[in-house]
Amino acid sequence: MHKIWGNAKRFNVNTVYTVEMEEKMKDKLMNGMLSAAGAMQTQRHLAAIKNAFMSLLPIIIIGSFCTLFSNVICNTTPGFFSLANIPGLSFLGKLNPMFTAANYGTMNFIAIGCVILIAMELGEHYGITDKALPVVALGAYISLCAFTASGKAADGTEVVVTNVLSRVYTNAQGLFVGMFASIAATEIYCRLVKSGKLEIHMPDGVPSNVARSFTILFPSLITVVIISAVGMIFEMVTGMTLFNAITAFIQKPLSHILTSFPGYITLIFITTVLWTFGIHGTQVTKAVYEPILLAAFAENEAAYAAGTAIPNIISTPFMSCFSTVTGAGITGGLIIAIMLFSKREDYKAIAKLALPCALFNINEPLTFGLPIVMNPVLAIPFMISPAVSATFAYAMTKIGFCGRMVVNAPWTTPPGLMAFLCSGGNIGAAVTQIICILLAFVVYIPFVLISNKQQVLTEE
Amino acid sequence: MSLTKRGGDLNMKEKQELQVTDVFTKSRIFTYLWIVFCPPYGLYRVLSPSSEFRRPEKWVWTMIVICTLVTFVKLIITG
Repeated sequence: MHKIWGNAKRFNVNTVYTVEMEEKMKDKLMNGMLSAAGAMQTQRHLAAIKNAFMSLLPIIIIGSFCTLFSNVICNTTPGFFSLANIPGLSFLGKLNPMFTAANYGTMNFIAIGCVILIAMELGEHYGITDKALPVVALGAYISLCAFTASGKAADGTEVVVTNVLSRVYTNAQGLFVGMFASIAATEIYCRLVKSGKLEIHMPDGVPSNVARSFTILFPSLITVVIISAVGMIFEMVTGMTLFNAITAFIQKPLSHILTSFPGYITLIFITTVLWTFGIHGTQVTKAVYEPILLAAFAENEAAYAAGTAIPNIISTPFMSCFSTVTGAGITGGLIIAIMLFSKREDYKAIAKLALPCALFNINEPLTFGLPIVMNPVLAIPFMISPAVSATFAYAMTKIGFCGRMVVNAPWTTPPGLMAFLCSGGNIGAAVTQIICILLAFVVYIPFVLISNKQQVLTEE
Repeated sequence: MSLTKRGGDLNMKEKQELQVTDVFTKSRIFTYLWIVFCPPYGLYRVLSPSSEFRRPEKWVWTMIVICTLVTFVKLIITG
């Protein structure tokens, strides 16, 4: 359609000027978008965070599936719906320690894993692959944590235990501070090592590995002491630990924004806008939203394991289930719309090819095949349908029809099954996910009809 | 620099990043299952010279297997 308008405008000099201006504006806009996306994608800290979370993804999935298995298969609590409670299958209860241990070992040590991974990823960026670096980063992070934990004893009295590290610091709640501590420690360490001023030179006869441990002795010591001193001074001045301050003044407000409905809609809108310019929106924004949504998911998962009320509606699996199901832009709806309403043979051929991929939430054949990228007609519903779907799913969850997300299934799990698994076996969630695809289908219909007319005009 | 070249550069950078497909290869998925059902052999697969796991991942998986085994033993002892 754009091409036809362009041809019509070339009939006089003024409109040619307008077309040129339009092209220039478009180029400027694209340049701006590419610069911003490029800066985010190549920024070393964000790249380290993204890689770290990608490495953590299997750990999170294993942990959440173990929760599901220990609750749905191996739970022997009387009155609880579980396979182990079915007569003849009670032996499944014996497997419970295995899944509980795997869940504990994964979900409760995410923050520690994150600190180690970020330090090593960032260190590799600087060309420093010392084995001491992740240990130093971990030491720096631990120095910001309190070593006392309080709780209630069986008789209801308040008990304070000293010389322990609360799981608050090692599970998803510690992710945010862990990220900051790891980045700060790695930056200090790498700069000190690279400067070479703190090296202790050993005689030639000393083995190289022994000499290396002396070379990194002072950088390691200074890094941990600096981070620890910052934490101590902060606590002396403000009366609260740096961990609590970052959690209260940065993590919680950010979490409230991203796990609130308007904040979430804005996030997915930005993601799809980037996609329509050919930029992998999810990859670009991941470093910002992943720690927050993951922490929200971990809270849900812990509540599910403890059998208490699930606190958050919006979390990582909510995004996979209701905003990116069948691919970003919920392009499964587009495939159905094309198959039923499109008169374009090229669209139909691509839709047929894309269908098997869409069943596993992959939509590259459509985004780059139709294409949706830089296609103003299809870009509009591509941006609208995830917002419509998320709104519907949020409302359904709010009224209790759709279960809250407590398991993080792999993103390639087929629609319907994915929501069923992620909600811990809730049929309402599976139905909601299917309705979301149908809603996307309704959103895409008018635009598929426009593309039909576009084809007719081009042929004419 | 042309838009096409800049877009291409961006895609190249994206390819250099760790992708979902990198962490869910067939061999890795089997290793994840071994880590749950038989952590020592899972750890052996993670640390073996032919392992697909990157250096930072080897560290984290080692830590996780140790934590899992300690918790498992504790659960068996305490019932």
